[in-house]
Amino acid sequence: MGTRLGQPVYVIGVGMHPFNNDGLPSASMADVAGMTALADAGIEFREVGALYNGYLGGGVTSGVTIAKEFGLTGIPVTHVENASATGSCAFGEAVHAVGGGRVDVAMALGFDDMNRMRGLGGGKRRRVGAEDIMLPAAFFAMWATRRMHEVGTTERTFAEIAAKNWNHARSNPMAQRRADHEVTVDEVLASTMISYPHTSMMACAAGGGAAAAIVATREVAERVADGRPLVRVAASQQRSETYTDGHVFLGAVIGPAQMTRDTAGDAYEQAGLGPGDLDLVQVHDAFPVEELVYYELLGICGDGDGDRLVAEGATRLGGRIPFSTDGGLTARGHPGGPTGLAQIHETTLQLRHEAGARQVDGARTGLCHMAGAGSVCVVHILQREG
Amino acid sequence: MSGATVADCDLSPKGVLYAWTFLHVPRMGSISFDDTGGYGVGQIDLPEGVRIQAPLVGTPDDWQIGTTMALTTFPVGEDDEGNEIVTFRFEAVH
Repeated sequence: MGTRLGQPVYVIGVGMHPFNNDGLPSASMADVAGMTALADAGIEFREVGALYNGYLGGGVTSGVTIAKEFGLTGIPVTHVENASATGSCAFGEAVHAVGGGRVDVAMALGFDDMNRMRGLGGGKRRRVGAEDIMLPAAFFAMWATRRMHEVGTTERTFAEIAAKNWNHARSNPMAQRRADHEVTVDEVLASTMISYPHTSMMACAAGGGAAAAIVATREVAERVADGRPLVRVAASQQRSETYTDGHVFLGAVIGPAQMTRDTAGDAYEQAGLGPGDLDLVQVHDAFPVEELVYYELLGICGDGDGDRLVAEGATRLGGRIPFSTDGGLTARGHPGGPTGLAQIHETTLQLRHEAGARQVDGARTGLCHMAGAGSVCVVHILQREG
Repeated sequence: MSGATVADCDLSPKGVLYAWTFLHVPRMGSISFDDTGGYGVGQIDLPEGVRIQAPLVGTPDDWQIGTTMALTTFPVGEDDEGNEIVTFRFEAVH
């Protein structure tokens, strides 16, 4: 049941403000990300035909207000929100605005500061219904204990995934958690227990930040390429839940696992390729059990084989199929709105071979996966041309 | 699917633990931590085919996946008229 693009769409520019926990105003971070993306594309804001803002906090009208910083050009400005997948959905809307012929150039801009959001811990005390105390941390942890029961996954495997992502972030100037030393598995295991079996160093970093991506038609992409390879959006797919066995309706943070498998299937079909064609992958690794299970749901390995992939080091930089090359939600961070766009930023740099110490050799095809509470799932596949 | 035929069904107060965790970091709600340093949360499969989520009574030593769990209620406060508000949780049946 995948959706279509009417014409090819290319990523022509990306930009970010480093993710951080410094309490910076979202508007100024958004300005940096947007201006950096425009400079990266080599265009002025007047060429942008539509702007899709992704944010969870910030309040009514903050998207259109921030757009004025770039110029009062009169373009349509739209607020997109889909929980953790907000930035990915804003990107998807920009992609479809170009792919569907609405405009030649569209921009997606994500900004947020999770620490300022109400309802995620900052809100006043509420009356407790059973669902009110079901934190995301609890859902992911229950997923993990079930996985341990069914597959025999150990706490150490979860810690290995987290340590890998912390170490990937060490060479990412946009990452929120940049350790000054090689992070070890024992260190991750020894950090504060949050929700068994997950410790604080396994939990994604909440904070602030901004990220932007500009997409365009092939004609525009060729004009502004300036000798750089084109990066095409080979697939843009988004789903909500379908009913599954054992379906959880109340508060399911990431929905049934089948949603990721189905959305990825739609994306592979649209791109005309399979998991074996991927060179790198970004996923919604809010907790390491997610990344582990996504190895399987994205078809990188068979069901139950994810643990072996970790043991072999296949998903670290230098491995067969690196995951979360920028540190992932774990260490690059997860401010909310910009998170999915940070994945697009990283993948675009990788496909242009501009990722520095994190560069995946010869990277040509990258997949970005985000899940959002509600639940939604978004998968994009980017591919280098030339 | 909207429009499909449905029927009422009484749910059993007992089920089997499908998954669980024990949280040490509070962020929402007013659930009591007592002297356990945290609180359990679980998913319980009821015989009618429903999987229900609820807080668990006790500590991780009290249950494992597959343990039979029974429903119990506990007070969480009062409404504006002073009436007690209760919600439910599950505890292991040994």
